[in-house]
Amino acid sequence: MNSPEYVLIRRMSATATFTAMTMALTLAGMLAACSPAGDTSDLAIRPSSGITEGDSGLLTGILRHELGCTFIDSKANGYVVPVFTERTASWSGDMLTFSGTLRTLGKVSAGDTVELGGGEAQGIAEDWTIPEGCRTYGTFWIVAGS
Amino acid sequence: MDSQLGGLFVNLGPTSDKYSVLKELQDQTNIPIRIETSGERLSDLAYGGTRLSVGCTTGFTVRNSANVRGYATAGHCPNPQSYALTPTGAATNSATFWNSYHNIYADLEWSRANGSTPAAQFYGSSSTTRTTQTGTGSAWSGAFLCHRGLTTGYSCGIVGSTSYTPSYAGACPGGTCAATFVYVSGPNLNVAPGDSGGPWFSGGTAYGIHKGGPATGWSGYGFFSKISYLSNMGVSLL
Repeated sequence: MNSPEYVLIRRMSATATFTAMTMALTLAGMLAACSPAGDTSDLAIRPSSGITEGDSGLLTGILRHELGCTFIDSKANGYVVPVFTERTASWSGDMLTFSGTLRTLGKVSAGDTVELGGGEAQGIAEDWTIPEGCRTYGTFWIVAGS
Repeated sequence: MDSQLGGLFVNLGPTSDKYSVLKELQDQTNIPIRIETSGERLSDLAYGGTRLSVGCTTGFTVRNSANVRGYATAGHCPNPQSYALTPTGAATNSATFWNSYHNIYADLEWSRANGSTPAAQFYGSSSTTRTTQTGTGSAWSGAFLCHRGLTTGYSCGIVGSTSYTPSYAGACPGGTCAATFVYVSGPNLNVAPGDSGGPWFSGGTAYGIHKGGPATGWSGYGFFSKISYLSNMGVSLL
């Protein structure tokens, strides 16, 4: 791959390259730690596996944010709680921001129709964070992503 | 025309030879047809490679030892389901979940097709002309296989591994996936959300049921459960 960034680093001295890479890694770490800015307390969250793959199911429905839970009101599947990879989704006011690899990217509001790739979960994993408001729902959807 | 069916609706008298008319019309027009007489709905034919209501695709048609017939799909597809008779038709036919084999080895389930008779055919390379199921096969590295999915339609690739281990979170219930999945890639291969459960095949030979791929989709690789695991659910291909 011969992107401009790669060419730029290749032309630097070894010291300059090390400094630049250190700064870039620090910046990336800072961005990862605080991105996306917003509230995740009403979202079901799972740790990142670092693998940007997933099941090829497609959940379609209306995004709901009620009583401390974010869920999908799906005509075909009923009420389903999406389980997002950490740092890929957050609420900011009335807007849910997706920064993960979802079929519907960007910002959406409660009431919008969304499509989420992934698959139905067989139970809740121990390392997931499930809001209290979501625990009354019986169906969870592992959103495809890292 | 029946807009919900996406085809012709024919109402016959009680003495008509319904099957002959159905077959002739279907052969002549190549569109799905429903026939009713005196308000009684007769059986349609169900096939693999069609739309499921839950954002998945039917794989191949199957039956168990009691000759209960239905279709196989992916185990991570939600239940209950309803299915369409064509790849893009309305998923209005009800199905009853029957059994699954969704664990570290495979991602499969099957449902009984209600109100229709599953036939030994699936929509493979064409969304309008069906392929007859001729048997099952075991994939090998370098094999050229194709699939059909609700979202991406028909595309093909080369098998890169027959011992692939999906490693994303939640890939396999009950633990880390075993190295039993088949990985396929290629510049013309398309995989996207909605394709789950669809058939992987070469001609009329069934090789697997689609499981997953890159989260963004459309990126040139995917993986499936081996068709040999159908027997773990007590079913075989029609």
